[in-house]
Amino acid sequence: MKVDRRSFLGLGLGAAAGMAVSPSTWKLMDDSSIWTQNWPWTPVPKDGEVTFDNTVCSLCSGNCGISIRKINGRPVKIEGRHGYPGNDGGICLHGISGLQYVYDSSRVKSPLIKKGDTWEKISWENAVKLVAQEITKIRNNSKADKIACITDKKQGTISGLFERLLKTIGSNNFFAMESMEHTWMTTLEKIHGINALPDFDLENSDFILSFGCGFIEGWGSPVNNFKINSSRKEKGTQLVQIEPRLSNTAANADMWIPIKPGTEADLAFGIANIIITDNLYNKTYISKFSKNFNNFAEMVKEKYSIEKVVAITGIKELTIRKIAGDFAKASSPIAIAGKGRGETAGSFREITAVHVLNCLLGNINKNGGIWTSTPIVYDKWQSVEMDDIALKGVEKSLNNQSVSSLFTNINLSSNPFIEALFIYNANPCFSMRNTKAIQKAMEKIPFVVSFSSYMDETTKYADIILPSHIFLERYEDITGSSGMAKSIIGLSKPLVKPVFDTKNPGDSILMLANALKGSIAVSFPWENYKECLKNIFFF
Amino acid sequence: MSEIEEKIENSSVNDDKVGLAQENIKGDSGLGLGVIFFILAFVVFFLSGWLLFPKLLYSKKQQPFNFNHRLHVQEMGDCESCHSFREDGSFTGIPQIGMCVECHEEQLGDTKDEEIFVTQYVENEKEVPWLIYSRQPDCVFFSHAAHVIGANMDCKTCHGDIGESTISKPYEVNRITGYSRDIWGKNIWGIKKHSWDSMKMDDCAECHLKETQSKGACFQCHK
Ligand code: SF4
Repeated sequence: MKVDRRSFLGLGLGAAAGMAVSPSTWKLMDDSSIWTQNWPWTPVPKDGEVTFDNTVCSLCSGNCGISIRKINGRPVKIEGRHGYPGNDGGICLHGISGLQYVYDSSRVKSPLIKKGDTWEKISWENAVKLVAQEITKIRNNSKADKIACITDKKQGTISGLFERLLKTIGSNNFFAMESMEHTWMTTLEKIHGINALPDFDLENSDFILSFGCGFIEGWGSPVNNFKINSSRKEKGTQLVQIEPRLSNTAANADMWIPIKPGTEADLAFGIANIIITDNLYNKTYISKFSKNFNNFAEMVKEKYSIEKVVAITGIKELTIRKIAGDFAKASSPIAIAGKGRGETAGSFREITAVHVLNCLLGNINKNGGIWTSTPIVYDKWQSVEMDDIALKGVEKSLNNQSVSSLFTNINLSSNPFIEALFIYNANPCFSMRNTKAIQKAMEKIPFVVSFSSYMDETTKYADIILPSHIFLERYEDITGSSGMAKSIIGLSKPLVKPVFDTKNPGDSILMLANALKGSIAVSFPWENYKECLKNIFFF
Repeated sequence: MSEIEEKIENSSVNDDKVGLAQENIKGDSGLGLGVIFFILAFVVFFLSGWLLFPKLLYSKKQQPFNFNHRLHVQEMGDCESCHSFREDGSFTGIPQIGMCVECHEEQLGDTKDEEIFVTQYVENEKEVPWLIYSRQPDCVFFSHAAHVIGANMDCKTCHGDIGESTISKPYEVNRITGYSRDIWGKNIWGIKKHSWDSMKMDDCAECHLKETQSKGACFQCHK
């Protein structure tokens, strides 16, 4: 016998066959497939004890109650909080991904000072000292009235602290970004003569006539609106969307009326005209509450006849008549306005025209209609101390201006109209109309301090940034939006240890007030923001 | 010209020789050796694939110290006294040291193992880095509550007689996957005699099919 090629073949085949019928091949196949699922470089989150902690989301005006799932104390997921008014366990996609903001690469990681075109890190002490020096200089030059502040809203203790700081410095120029809420408030004031917030009871309404509101795209109380929208079919609630664009809301509505942009008010008056001429309005309500009804009826008859409205809006007569008829015949109809997410002021004429429809049917302060609620006051501030400069400044400073008129004035004036600007939670360079003009105005302000958590379009123009904790890192009282039939005040609390060298904006203000010394420091007697919140919150 | 043909060519006309040559053609010695080599290689590879391969595949580690389950079950009553559920229904798994300290603040017995536990871990307030025999991969969602509370299952059905053990067996880890050997099971063929012999997906599916008439959907466990 000779060892030849066949012997080797036999050896090879024997080895292969032996291996094949032994468990190793099959086991190795299984193992290697598992191995591919467990690349050692793939990060695997640590396992541990699961706990939940509650807070409020302030990423939009919905202010939903949220529950944060933590593993060994590390937040891993945001969920809707059950039982919370408005969202009751629901949450939107933005809220779900809220944790991403903690590690957002555009966060300002420490106080920064602008040097030429670049930013340099600076300590909190030095940053606040520099701001204090600048403000003191402006005050000493008797220009305290030329210091302004823009925040996102007027309610809440953080805004309260900014307003107080401004007042003790010597200025009244405290502005909140405009939203549809302001325009609605003006409308309610002009029509009903009251200072009230509009609360839309969409839940109980059976006919929603929306003039361009992004009803399921972030308008009002978004999660509440999702719920209303998903139960619409069941309840038989009609949604008519009047909007030039086929938005998500329009696509979801029972009827979409593509209208010529900017002619919504004309359509609303046209509908009012039909309701009046067809005798479909609520006579009891009108006779009880309306003084100049006949004048109004004359006006719409003359200016908004159906032919004119068809020509202006580009909508067929039949359609307009149908909307008017269906709206007037519904048992709890509601007409809503505020374009998109309602984050811009919108047009006063438009909101007034739309609200007239609600008035004609008398669905004010009724289920399924518009409730007028007085803004809740829950903060009680002790009086401020003001030195001479402050008293003179406040007397001299502008009053009753809006953010847009402020920017217009800055652009118009050749001398600095505003010497210093504090900006917090507001991004006018992005969210206002005509951003080019806003940017130009921002460039003209000699000294800008931003309290933003992110390097946004407006913060880019700052000279010093005192970065704030994001909502998951801080205490704050949160006032709800007007999207619902009730007003809610929530308390947001820190659930994540601050990741960067940031502060609660309230603490930044206290620090600045202390650095400004004198009567300003005296007006801010609290050790920290938490103590301030505890002291002035009286519910 | 092939070897066989050559042999035929060179052979004499002697019939016997021709017969031999022809025999050579049939019972070729090369083929015979080939068969022997085949069998040899088959046996060697089969045996090593069966007996040697598992030894190479798994590496062994010892637990930080021995744990006597039997003694603890006797003292505490049942599994859930230590392996409890949290209020929200999630399972605590291996107790954290805080729970052990309720009894073991100081040494209770005189075993070497307890001494290690008290001196190295309790006194230093350090968690014991237990090696978990039944740790499932990260891509698996498993709810103890659904099985133990919901379906009223016994711990033993999946975990076997661990409650009877007096020492901690070595922890064997698969060098390729990084998983504990208990997932595939001790038997390298994957043959099991008891429900707790292995903890692979097929084992879950088998029981689910039996109990719920369905193997279940992918997303039930792979969320
Ligand atoms: S709707 Fe607004 S408040 Fe609610 S979860 Fe979404 S982003 Fe947050």
